[in-house]
Amino acid sequence: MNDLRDPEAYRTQVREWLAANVPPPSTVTGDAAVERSKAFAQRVYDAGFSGIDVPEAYGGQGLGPAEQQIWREESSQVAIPMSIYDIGFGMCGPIVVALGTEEQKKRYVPPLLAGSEIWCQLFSEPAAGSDVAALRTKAVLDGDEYTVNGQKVWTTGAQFCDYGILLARTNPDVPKHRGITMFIVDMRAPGVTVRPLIDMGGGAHFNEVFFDDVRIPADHVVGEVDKGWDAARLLLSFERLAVSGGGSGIEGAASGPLSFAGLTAAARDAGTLASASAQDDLVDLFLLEHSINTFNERLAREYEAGIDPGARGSIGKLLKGRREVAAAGLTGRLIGDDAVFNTGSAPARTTAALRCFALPIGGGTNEIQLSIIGERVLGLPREPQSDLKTAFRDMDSRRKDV
Amino acid sequence: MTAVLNEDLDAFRVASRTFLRTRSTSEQVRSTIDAGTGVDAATWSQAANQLGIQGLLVPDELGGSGAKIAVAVTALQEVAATLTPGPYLATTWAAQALSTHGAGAFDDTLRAIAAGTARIAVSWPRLDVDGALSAPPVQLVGDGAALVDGTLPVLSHASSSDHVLLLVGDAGSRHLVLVDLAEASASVETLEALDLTGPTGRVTFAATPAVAVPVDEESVVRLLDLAAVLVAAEQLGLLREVLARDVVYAGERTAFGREIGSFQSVKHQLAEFACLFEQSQAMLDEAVLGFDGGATERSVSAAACAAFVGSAAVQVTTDGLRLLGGIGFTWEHDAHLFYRRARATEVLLGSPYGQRRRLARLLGLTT
Repeated sequence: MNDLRDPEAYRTQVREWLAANVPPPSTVTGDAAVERSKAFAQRVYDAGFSGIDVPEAYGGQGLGPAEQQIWREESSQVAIPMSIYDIGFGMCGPIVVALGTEEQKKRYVPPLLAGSEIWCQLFSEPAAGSDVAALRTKAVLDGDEYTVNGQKVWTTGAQFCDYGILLARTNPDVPKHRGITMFIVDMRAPGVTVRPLIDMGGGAHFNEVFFDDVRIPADHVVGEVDKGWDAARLLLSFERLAVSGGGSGIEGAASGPLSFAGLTAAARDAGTLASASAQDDLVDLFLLEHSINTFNERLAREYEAGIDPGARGSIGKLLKGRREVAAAGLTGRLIGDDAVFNTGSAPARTTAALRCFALPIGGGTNEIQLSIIGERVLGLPREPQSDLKTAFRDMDSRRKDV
Repeated sequence: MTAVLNEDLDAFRVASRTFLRTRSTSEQVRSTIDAGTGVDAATWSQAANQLGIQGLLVPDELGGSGAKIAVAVTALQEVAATLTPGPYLATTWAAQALSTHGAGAFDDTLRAIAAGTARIAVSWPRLDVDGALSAPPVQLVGDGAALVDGTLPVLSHASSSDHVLLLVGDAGSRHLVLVDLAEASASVETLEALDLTGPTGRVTFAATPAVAVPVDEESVVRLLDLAAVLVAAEQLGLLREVLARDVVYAGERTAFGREIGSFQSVKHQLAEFACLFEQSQAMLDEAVLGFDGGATERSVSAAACAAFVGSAAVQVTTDGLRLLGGIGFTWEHDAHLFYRRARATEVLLGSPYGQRRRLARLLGLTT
């Protein structure tokens, strides 16, 4: 059914299936929203669009990154209830496929792809965000199980997740990045406590997650013990590509309320479009959005030509984050009172505008992306870091050289 | 979707890059600047005969390659990246204009372009601040044979070219006009210009014989879009080269005990340049790929390039010079040559404000 040799035909196929299968809009929340997503994910799986570049042995389609990128682009243009799977499909699934044992791949990848098991990523901690290698959650080997104690933060979707990819410290006697292990953790295991965090838009999409003597079997290690940092870097590179490749706005559809099209329509309705300055702001927004779209199209062509984009996913992620904040910041001047003093008049736009900060902060801040671009795309030298040779247990986060 | 990336294009890119980096070194460029000729005749001739750069858009039955625009875009990036002086950009655009219009009237000139024996300066189609195409202050006069009269206040490569190509007249009655600068009634007065690799002149025509063909408005718009794409190719070449040189410098120059590129403020500025490069390259690719598609999409893509790539090139050549410190400010270092050329290409097609107005109109933001 899927034509490997013709990306254009594949794109048409994907587009047509999406157009025919987009569910009617819904306002359900909580468990009902999760059930709605699961039902849709099952249909995606049955139609053969899940795990497009995952080997068939693990429930995937066995196609390539070009086709996967096509799905990523096309599906981001329509309003489908798949956002709870972003982390599973974008990062957790790919890391298990890349580094997992045969048993892990066979056990976890098929239900992940079918949408029956939902995944989260447990990296960040209160004292370890940009510097995630400084994490403190501990995993101590006791027989054939690890005992895990610690706390994670900003864990998107933890409130309904079945499994997570966890980074924990297994060796405090070596420098920070050499004593980390990656685990698969059962989010319903005894000792795991999920507490919601409210974001600035009033939503509860992410959480604190506490680990109190949680037992994890030793065969849940992903990759090798103490080699979790390399695994983490690989997972983060998947994350950047997944985020940057999915169209030009966090809300997905090219005509969402904060898109160029959406803001132009709103400005027209508000009577502001007559202003040449407003047109100028919209031209700038168009150019940024157009540059992101054409950049993703170029990445797709590179995939088709067998070229690895390398760390350039960071460019897409950085530009998208900027676009979100820029677009949100324009609503006051382009729309006027309804955008600021009567926000109930457009709840979807208001929520989107307040959540715009998620993209430039989460998944690596703009500053981190700039450093990644400088170091891994341009090859510039890294900055000296004072803690690279210090054993973790001897680390003191305050600088001592002045 | 045909990939812009393909093996043939890669091979041509490597060949033109190698040729120009060998023939058009910094010493060679400065020697041409000092000589005041505006072009190195030997390099021009070899570029035509060994690589066929000038004849890319000349039909193959007239000695050219009949190539796609993508190939010309590739070549012009390398010309700009090496600061090669000469009307390569103008002659390339002229080749397309002359081969598409005139039904054979320009065949001899096209053959000469492909052979490297003709150099065409172009009075570019320029937008005014409102984004409307303005006509140059030159008119067709006379009843029978075409004669041109008027003065072009500034023309790039005037004294290094043997012909001028103009688009005269207002909407509805425009003509492509080719004038041989050897005509006694045409005179060129050399001016001083910011771009040392693109010397300019004031050109006066006094009932000068010319070859003129009418061009419909749709074709004029297409020529305008092509100009935007080819100019963006030059700008992308400048941007890419300055970024590459600055990255090398940042990895070599040390201060405070380490390479300056290891300091975040320097690293992050260079990372911003990398983003501008990727954004510009992607937009230009899209404009090239869609050039033979729908006219509205073609114009939007071309206008987006005109609005974005020019200012990106100015920004990178500006900040790229600054990041070099004191040496960037010297005559001896090439940084100012890139800056000067970026400044010139930014306004080659008229008002950058007008390019944005044109885009706003095409996007339906205004009428």
